[in-house]
Amino acid sequence: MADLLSIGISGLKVHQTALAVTGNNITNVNTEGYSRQEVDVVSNTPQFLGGIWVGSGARIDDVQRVYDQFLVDQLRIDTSNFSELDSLELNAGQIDSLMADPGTGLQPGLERFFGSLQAAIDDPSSIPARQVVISESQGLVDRFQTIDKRLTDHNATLNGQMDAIVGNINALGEAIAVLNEQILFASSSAQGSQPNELLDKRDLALKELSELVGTTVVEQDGNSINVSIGNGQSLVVGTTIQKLEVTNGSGDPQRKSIVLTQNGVELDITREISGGQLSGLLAFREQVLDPAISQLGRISLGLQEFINEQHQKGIDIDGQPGEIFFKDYNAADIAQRRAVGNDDNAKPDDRQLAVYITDATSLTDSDYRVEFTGPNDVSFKVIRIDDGAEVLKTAISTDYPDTFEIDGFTLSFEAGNYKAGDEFYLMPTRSGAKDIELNLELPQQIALAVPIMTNASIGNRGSGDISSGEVFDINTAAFEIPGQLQPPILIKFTSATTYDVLDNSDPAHPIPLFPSLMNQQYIPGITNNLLPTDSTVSAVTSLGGFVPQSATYQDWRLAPITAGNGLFPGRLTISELDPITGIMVDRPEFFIAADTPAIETARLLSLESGIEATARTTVELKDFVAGTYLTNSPFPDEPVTLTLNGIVLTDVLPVDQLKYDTPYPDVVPEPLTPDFIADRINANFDFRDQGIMARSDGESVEIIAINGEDLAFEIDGELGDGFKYSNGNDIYLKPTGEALPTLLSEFDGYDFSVGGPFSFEFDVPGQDVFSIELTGTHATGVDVLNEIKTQIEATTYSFTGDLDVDIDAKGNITFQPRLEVFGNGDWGSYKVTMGGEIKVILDEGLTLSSAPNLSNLFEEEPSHEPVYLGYEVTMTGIPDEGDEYEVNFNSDAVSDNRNGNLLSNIQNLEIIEDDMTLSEGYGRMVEEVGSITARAQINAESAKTLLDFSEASVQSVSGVNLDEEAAKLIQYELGYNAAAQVISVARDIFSTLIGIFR
Amino acid sequence: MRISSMQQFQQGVNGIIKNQEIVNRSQQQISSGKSILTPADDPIASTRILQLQQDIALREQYADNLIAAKNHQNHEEVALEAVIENLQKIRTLTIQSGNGSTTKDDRGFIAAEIEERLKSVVDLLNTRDASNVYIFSGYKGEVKPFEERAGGGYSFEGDQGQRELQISANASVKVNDSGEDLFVNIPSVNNTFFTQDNSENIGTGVINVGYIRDQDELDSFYPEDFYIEFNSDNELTPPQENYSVRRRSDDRAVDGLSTIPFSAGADITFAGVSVKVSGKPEPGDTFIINSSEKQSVTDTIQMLVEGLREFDDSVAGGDQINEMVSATLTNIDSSITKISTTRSEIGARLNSIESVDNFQQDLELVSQEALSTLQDLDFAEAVSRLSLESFLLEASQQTYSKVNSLSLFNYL
Repeated sequence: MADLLSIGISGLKVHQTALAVTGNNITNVNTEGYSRQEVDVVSNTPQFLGGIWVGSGARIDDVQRVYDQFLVDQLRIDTSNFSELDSLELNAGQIDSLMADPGTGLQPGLERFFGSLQAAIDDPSSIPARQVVISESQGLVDRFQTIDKRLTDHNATLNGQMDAIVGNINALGEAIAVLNEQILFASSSAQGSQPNELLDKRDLALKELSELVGTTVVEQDGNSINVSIGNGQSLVVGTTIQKLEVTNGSGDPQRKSIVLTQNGVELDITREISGGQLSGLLAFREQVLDPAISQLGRISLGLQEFINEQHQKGIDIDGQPGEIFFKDYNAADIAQRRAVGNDDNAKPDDRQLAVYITDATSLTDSDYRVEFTGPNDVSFKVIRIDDGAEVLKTAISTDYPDTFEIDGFTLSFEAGNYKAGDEFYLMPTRSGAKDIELNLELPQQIALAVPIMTNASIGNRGSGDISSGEVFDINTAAFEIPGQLQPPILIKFTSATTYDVLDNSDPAHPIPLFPSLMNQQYIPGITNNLLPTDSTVSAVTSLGGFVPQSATYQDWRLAPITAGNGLFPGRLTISELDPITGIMVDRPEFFIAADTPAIETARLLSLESGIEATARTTVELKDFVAGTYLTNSPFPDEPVTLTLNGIVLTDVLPVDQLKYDTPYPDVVPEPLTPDFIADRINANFDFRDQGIMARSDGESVEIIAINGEDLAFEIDGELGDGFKYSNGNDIYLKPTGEALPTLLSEFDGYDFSVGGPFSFEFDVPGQDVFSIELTGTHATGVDVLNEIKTQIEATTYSFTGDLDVDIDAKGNITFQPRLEVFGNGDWGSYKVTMGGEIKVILDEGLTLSSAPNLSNLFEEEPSHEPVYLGYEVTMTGIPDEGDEYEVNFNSDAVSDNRNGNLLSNIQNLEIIEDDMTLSEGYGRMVEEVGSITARAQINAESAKTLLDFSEASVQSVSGVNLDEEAAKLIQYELGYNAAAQVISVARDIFSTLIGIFR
Repeated sequence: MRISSMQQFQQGVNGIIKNQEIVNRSQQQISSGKSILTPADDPIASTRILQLQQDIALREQYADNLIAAKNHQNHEEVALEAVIENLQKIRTLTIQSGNGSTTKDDRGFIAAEIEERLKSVVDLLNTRDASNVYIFSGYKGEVKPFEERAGGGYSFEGDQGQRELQISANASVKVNDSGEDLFVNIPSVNNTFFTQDNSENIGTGVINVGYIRDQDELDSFYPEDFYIEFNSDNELTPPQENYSVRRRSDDRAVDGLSTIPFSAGADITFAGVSVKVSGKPEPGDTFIINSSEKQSVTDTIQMLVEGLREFDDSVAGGDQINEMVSATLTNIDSSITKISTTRSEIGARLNSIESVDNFQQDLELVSQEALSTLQDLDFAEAVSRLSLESFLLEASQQTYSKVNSLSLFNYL
């Protein structure tokens, strides 16, 4: 018979437990991660009594948590997604509000800086207005630094957050490993019954972990789980954990990396991390923080480059050249900080790289990585990190510094032994905003004026209107001496369409420039650039005409012979730079025969592309003397006859002559005079056509063939009729020793024995620089001249003819070799021919060299002088012959604001990537951060909705509902009461039974 | 669907928080008056706002420049008007002096009066502006443009610089005129000349303005320039200071003027002109005599003054006076014409400043409006939105307490 009592008792037990479970559910209603539990009640095995099966009560089979694995997994994924986006939004939002706030953004700083500049431009001489510029510049510098500081501080916070998060991940991983062990133990000892609370705890730990980082969970054997993160890197395997670590980035020291140690190997998994706060932080760093710092740096560098460059082209209120406005952003320490070697590079750590900003308009906001790819130690490539593009692939030489141009900066390998496998991280723009610093200190230093000023002579008759000039390059010889223009320029119109550009150092004697700019073309009706505009061409000048050893005798009985022009044969080579290989390539040689007229050589050279050659021949004649007729001569008495290029200059002509323009000197003086020769040459129609002209200053006559034709002279006359012949190139003696106490004069003696040494040097193109020293006491001026001559002759200076030394009224010493040319009284004559000087203008990348080294055409490796002056002036209108325009240093220019206007215009220039102004660049940066923040906001919101939904789903299944539990409480209580009644009935039955026996 | 108690509470709280966020945002918008609080609210509009702000800031710079430019023009205009008045008085006096009935004494008095007038003209030419800068000295704002010369007359010390101010993104206006263009570069009725010391000189010699001794002779040499060069004393025996007069075109000495003994302050006469070098020039020093078709207004008047004092009452003197007076009148008229032309230029500049100003103001208004549309809040909309949002918040709060007060436990 079934045992009613034990059935009742089983009912009591069952309901007691059920009530306990319900109570437990109610108590844990607010416990996070708790899943409600249900009792699993089963009926006991029936007993076979009397041929029938009779039930024997109930029992609790199991207490189970109500739980849906799929929903929990989904919740974990949604948690990861939301945390990632939430953390991105939170961090980006902070940068977002920093950028556009007028109190903290860059824009107001830029506006105030340029606004203050404009006020100074209006009143350039006002020190208070300039002071405001200095303070506002400092304000702008502070803005850059403050914003940069906020951003880099954020980076530091971010590094700290990463440390904390990784710490938490490790702690949670450990907790999961421990729980795995406990669950294993609990389930095996409970023979399959689930340790519900432990499982809940583990699920909670997993959920917390997925808030931090995206995880993948795999159940191992029904009890243990394995957790991996990122791309399958295991964090927890059963009961063991592999800890994550935060290390200083191997490439970029300011960016921490996440490292997982697996089997003793460190694995950088920063890029593999996805999901969770950690991934949100990394995304923030990559998408918002790093670009913001770099873009701000790029704006700063753009501002610095343009302001500094323009400012240096100006002069300050005291006429001093503009200093750099901001401190040098390419200073060695700053440039070296832009490149960092990888920690893993081969030891010793001896490599030194530097990054110099060369063109802010081409800068990107990316960082770069240099990789020495091997197999050798010289090959490397440079990767632009933003887009992974390979921007350079080449090899270094060991010739340091070895430089390479990339995206607006120069990568310079400065020292060290590079090894295959080396890596370097380049950050061209990152410190741009941090390192900006004001260089100017005083308001006077602001360079609002332009160093040059033009001046039209008031004697001008034409209507030419000259610009005030613009400076493009201050690194030319013209601006070498502060406060001066070297040399001042005189632009003199020789006709309405031609002009000469002259050196106006001595306004009484303007002289040609070197390289000369004579006979330039002017086109009325358009804007003409009066000075060279091409900064890349260079000029080479030949050594010029030579004085022969002696004049050539022409025997009257023999056929006419030609005197050589003194120019040696030579081979000229034009070399050009191959733009692809970077190697100089020679073009075919020119063979120049001996005595080739300069005009011919120039013509040949001009046929070459990129070459323009001109020639000019100059002869100077002085000290004309008249000879005497020797009465015992077998030859008849005859007047002197001087011939130039076959045209007799000393003829006496009838009144109706057609050879000379009138008036001309019709009487031939004896001796000949410079004025006579000059006037005859200038009046001759043939010479006019040939471009041969002469200038006399009364003492000497200079004869010039402007196209470089040879000038051939022939003199026939009495014994002694003659002159001194030279190429007119004065050589200056430059004092190098002590200054002479009194002026030298060609009329007075001089005592060089007191004081001294009185040393001088002179430079002879094609030869050398020679030094002499004047010593001794000399009674007369002639003695002094002789002393100088003796000293010059004592050097190795090689020349022909006789040295003619001259001391001018200011005590300057010049000399030149001159050849005395005389008639000898017979019918024969003497001939001398002068060759010309060749000027070659070469385009960029071309050079000229000459061989053999004994040739007197050019120096072997002649110096290539720049033609460009560094500044330009333009002119419109119609000038008249004789009109003069000066270009001078702009002295006392306190009211000039031209450079100020150019500085102010920088706010309108498209500096950033060549298509954005500074403030547009900043605007784009704000927009980018704003877009990312907005996107993160929207995404976070939708992720939140998903998360809420899956949370609700989980709660819906596993959450405790108090009303439900209350109902159960009533239900189980009723059950319990009923079971108790069963026992009571059992007792009654028992009593009844006992009563029968009583 | 089954709802857990925790969920029920949480959802209620979440609803309240969300509504609070919305109310708070509207509240911020209303208290700041801006519809966009951070760039993330509307990245594109934010960039546009930055651009507009920059544009407005730039226009404000231009607006300041416009006012400054106007002031500069007005200042110059006033000075020029006064110069013309004075020149006209001098002109009247000049006519008086040419009246055949004046004696040398009368002319002396007139000369003295003209000289006084000239001084006030020069004072006007040396006008400074509010920031103490000489308005007619070009870029050399702190250099007095018209300085009295040692040998009489005035020399121009400024330069031809013209300052420009940016008054709009693509227009700038000149804010000064150089005294050289205004008062020096004046066409002269006859060919004339001006002198200058070579800046390279080491001695103390200075050259005076000089005068034309023989117009015909000067005309025959025109446009040749000359220079006086001092030679070594030893060029003469016994050694003595001496000079040569040379042509600038080819350095050739003028006939008969090579190594001439020098005495300070004596007339050096050639090519129809007469100049004096005083002080002590050193060998190598040069003084330049440039021929010109132009004469400064100060030189014109100074030469008149000298002439009026010099020429006597003879018939020949009378002819010279007539010639001089008529030349001077023409030259003064040229001056007045030149100044009047410049005044009308100033007027034109003022006009263009005015029109740029109007245009700028219109544009600024447009920018301001655009900015306002983008960033300013529509208060009516925002306030009604806020009241709806507050109502929703209130509702969610009430629902929360209502719903959560329902529990089976209340009946146990």
